Amino acid sequence: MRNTKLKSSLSMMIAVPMLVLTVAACSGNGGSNSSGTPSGSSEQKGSEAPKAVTLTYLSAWNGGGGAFPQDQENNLVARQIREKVGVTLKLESITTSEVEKLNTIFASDTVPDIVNAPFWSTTSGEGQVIKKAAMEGQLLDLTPYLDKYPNVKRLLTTGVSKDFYEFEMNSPEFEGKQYFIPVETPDGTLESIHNWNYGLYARGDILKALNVNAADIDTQDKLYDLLTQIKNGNFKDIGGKSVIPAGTMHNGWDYGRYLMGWSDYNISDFRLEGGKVTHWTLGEDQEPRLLFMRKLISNGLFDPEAFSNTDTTANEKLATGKMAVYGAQPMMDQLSKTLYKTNPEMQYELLGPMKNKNGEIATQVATPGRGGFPVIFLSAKIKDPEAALRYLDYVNSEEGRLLAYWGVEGQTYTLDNGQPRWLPEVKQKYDDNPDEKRDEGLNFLPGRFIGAFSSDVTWPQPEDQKTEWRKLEESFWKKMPIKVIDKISANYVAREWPQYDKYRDATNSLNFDTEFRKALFAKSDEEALKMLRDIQDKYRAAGAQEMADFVAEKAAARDDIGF
Amino acid sequence: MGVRKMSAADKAYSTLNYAVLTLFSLTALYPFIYFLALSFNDGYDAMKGGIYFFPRVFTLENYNKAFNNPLILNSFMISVTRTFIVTVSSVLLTALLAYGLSRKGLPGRKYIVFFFFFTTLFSGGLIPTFILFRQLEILNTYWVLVLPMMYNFFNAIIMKTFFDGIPGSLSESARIDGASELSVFAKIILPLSMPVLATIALFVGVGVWNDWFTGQFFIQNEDLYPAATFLNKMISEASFQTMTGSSGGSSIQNMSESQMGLRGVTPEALRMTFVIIITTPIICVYPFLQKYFVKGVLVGSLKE
Repeated sequence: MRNTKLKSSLSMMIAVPMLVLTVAACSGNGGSNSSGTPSGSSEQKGSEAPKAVTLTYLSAWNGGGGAFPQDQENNLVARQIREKVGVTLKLESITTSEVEKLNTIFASDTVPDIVNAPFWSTTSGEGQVIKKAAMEGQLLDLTPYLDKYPNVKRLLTTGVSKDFYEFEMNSPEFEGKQYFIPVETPDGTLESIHNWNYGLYARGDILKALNVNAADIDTQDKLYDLLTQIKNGNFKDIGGKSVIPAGTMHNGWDYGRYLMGWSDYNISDFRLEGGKVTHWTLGEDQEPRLLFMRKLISNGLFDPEAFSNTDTTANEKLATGKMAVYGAQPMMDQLSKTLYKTNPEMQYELLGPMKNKNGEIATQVATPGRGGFPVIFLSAKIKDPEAALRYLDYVNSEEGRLLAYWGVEGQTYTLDNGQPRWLPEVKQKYDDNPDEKRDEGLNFLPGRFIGAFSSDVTWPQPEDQKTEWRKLEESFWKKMPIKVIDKISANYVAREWPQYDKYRDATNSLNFDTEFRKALFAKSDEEALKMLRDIQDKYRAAGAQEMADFVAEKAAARDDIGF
Repeated sequence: MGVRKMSAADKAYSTLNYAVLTLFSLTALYPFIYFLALSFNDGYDAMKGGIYFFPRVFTLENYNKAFNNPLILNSFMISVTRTFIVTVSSVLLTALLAYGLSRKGLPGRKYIVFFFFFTTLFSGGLIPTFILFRQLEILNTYWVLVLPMMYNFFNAIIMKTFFDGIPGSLSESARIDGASELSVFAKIILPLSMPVLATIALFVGVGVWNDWFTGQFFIQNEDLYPAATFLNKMISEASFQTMTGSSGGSSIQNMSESQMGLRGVTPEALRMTFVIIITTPIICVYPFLQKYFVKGVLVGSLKE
């Protein structure tokens, strides 16, 4: 009797969880692996209706799913696109390492139909993984399709730097096949290249108190004098504590702004110094750069915690006006919501712009097109590549871009002299709750599906609609216009050097910047210089100078190589 | 018989003891208080620092943002059911294994233990695990959230060691009274092993509750995301949007002007909020399990 009771109790203990488990498992919407399969009903809605197809899409960007609408299939934009091209996307995103995810989908042969992933270079990181997969036949060769889809074809060249196009996208190992569709690229105009406004920014009230004109601070000496004056001026942050004369954001980003007097307009790792080409690590400016930074630190002018700042601590210093001068971008988003609200008099001003070693403005250097960008590629196993390309071609058409950015005319926007403007009630709705905009599908296409385009150039914002912060940003752009160099980066020439792979292996474990930072805190200048020379010797021993000599020789033979 | 009066040394020791333990408790408690204060504070105001115990600019927006997504409740349901199923079945299955291994009469016991132990020396790694799950056809299903966690050799060893410590004469006497092996296990061993069962249940329960990795790598369908995965996803997305602007572009240009001054929710504030959300249920469970840790169950169970 007891035994029977015991057995039934035990059986129940096992059976109940198993039953719950089974029910739960069966009720889950698992096993949906409709990868590449037409969505069951490939029904034709009349003779002109496009074939209905569902495709899987992966945004291989950590956190990249934030722009996805909650209802992926029936939001305003998705519905319109389905009507036009018959395609519905099932969106997937990741919240972990991009490389790890890419390795997983390639190794397990579960590549979604369409993937968007970072593609900065084919020699490292995500690009290297993607290139390997392409060469192993896991990606679809787009070459046979391109002529049929002109908007997609245009993306392959417009807004792409010519060296990146030649050496990365069309590496000889691809044997003439095209696998990648660049997105988030500029439209080919200078205006469409984004200016990040890197510079040194000083608290306005401090400059006023010192009677200093921000524009006058444009050399290393003047910068040093200003920081010394700030230190002696006993200025306070909003909490009444002493300011730090000079600082940076997290992890020392970007202490290089304090050293712009030794910079040049460079697009590669090589420097032309006194007619001789050298690798940047061996440059003659490294010693004065090191000694200048050491002078700032040893005289208490530079934040000793700058290199260990976390994002949180850096933001705290920024939001409290703790840094009299900081080097980075204007940080308008954080400042406009914190310091500028409570202490508008502290608004930071751009110093200089600083002059570089040639006496020119130290500013952002860019090639006419972008080198390194997000790319879209298709799985070699995609069942309906035409559907994917139809989708991409449409969203990159003029009509598709309007839909992607603005929605439906008359429903969300109206055209005013050819320029789209939100309907007032729609604007109000989106202003009150930006998630509404996202959920209508108006956020996920612009960033990840569209290329060779700049919304700012095509649909410039009217002056009266710009916020004061936007206007401030633009004023910085004007002071630091982008320097465009229309040449091929010498880095690509270096790849032809026979010892290149050996050099790369030898320098893989070296980190010049880390050693440079350590040298900043050495006990004496002599010790610091020794540390610098030690790391330079390691690069030299690995062949950095021989590589530079090779580059110089090759570059002399043609006139389109830029350093 | 009166109560012994405490000597000065005893008092000093006791005071020191309490002081040290109080300090220790505070160091464990304070991070939670700090996170709680920040989770109820405006994110941008929190950037200025100086918040230690109480919110300075009180807001519920962080929680509003967290619970705004309709999938959040679903993810909690997934977590609750998953934690319950895995904890119950894992403790039971592990106890059965451990009991078997603790029986001295088990033929080839050494080799069986070595067989289990040997597999713990190697890890399959992410991609082989992914391929295995795919071949088992449990990828992107609820099964992948529960099946792989139902057995743990480390826990089995802990239980076996505990079972080994239970006097053999207890089960002997039960057998003399006619109890079967299953009866001995269920009526003698398990009741005497509540501390270790509770401990393992806690290990497994907390581990499963906090596990975001399985959902992240082996589940694509958001409807099946457990809470930890879902919250981790929201944090990553918030950080990504801060970096790139809401429209997926790359600057302030692309950010909706309205968002600039909206709500005061930052990724940092969301992180604090999610820590509170995800730890609160576990904190609530602790008091119910605590009593098992302090009970001396064997005291008086047998007089030899």
